[in-house]
Amino acid sequence: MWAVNQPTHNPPDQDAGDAARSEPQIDRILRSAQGGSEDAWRQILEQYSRRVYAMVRSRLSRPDLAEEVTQDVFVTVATKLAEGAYSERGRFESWLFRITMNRVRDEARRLARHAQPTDPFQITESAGTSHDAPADEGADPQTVALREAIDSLGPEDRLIVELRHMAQMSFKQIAAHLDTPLGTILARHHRALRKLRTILEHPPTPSPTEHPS
Amino acid sequence: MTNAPNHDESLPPDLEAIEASLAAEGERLRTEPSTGFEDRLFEACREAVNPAPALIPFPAGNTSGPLRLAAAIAILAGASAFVVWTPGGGPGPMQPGDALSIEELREDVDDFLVFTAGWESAGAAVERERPGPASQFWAEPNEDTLLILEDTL
Repeated sequence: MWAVNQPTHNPPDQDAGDAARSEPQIDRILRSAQGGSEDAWRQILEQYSRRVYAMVRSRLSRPDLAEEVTQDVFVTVATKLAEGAYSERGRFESWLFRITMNRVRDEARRLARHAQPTDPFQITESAGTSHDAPADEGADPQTVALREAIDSLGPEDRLIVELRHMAQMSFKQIAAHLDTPLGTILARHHRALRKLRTILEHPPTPSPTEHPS
Repeated sequence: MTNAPNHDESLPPDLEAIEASLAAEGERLRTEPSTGFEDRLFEACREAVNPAPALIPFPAGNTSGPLRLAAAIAILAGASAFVVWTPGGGPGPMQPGDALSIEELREDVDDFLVFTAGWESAGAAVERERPGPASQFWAEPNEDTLLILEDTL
């Protein structure tokens, strides 16, 4: 049961307008959320919902679908917290984004199952995820080019780029999340950025048979 | 924890432009959700953790059948409890605002199928007028709800 306006016992200066919180602070908020505090839940959503959305949206081109998947992620988090199934103290973000990516993969599989075989460009498989519509219709050309470049990265590079720039995880958190040395993560990030720069400077020319119109 | 990209990790200068583009794209996506995004998530989470009690309207003076059907619907919808709501009050032990747990009603609705023959049309009308999970529909009874139920009696 959630209690209305149950205090979370955080100092006011940590609750108002302070986007960055330490893991102990987050754990304290999570404990309050587990105890049924609606205020704590609103803090969790304020802190993470748009970062999760951006991560999902980077893989799913339809905003409404991305919102739906994001909602599923937080419903899963709420349910597991209520059941006491969250035991990764100090690694909430890693847990959260693992749930996020699992849900994205589920959605990609669902979309792939419902793909029209006569329209191969409606869904494109990439790194185990998929796009369910052409990338960002109506977006400016630079954005479209960047999205296509991100889509063309290999799965490891793409994940690091998205965890860093969409989910706003620190490199240290990414290293812990992927159970990979920090130096390796940094090297992969640099490599991914170089690939992106190369793709954007020299975009691949589509062959005449790739996009029949 | 929000971690704005920084340059402490020895980012080569030639990659700063592409990193800035990625940062801008991340910001674009994070600000994309429509108004009320967090509120919708909040409500979804609250419902997942704490299903709203179903409010079941039924006409005063004829409680047995509707009550049993309502309880059955509430059970099927996964409600944890429902509150009896009789707008004009009514005879019998049930009064407006009375709350019964599903457990209290489970035995009583064992034979609810007896009543479904007369109430299937009501259920169909409810679904037609207010499609969606029964729990959502029953959570907010209004005049339309009452009208459907009264018409079916």
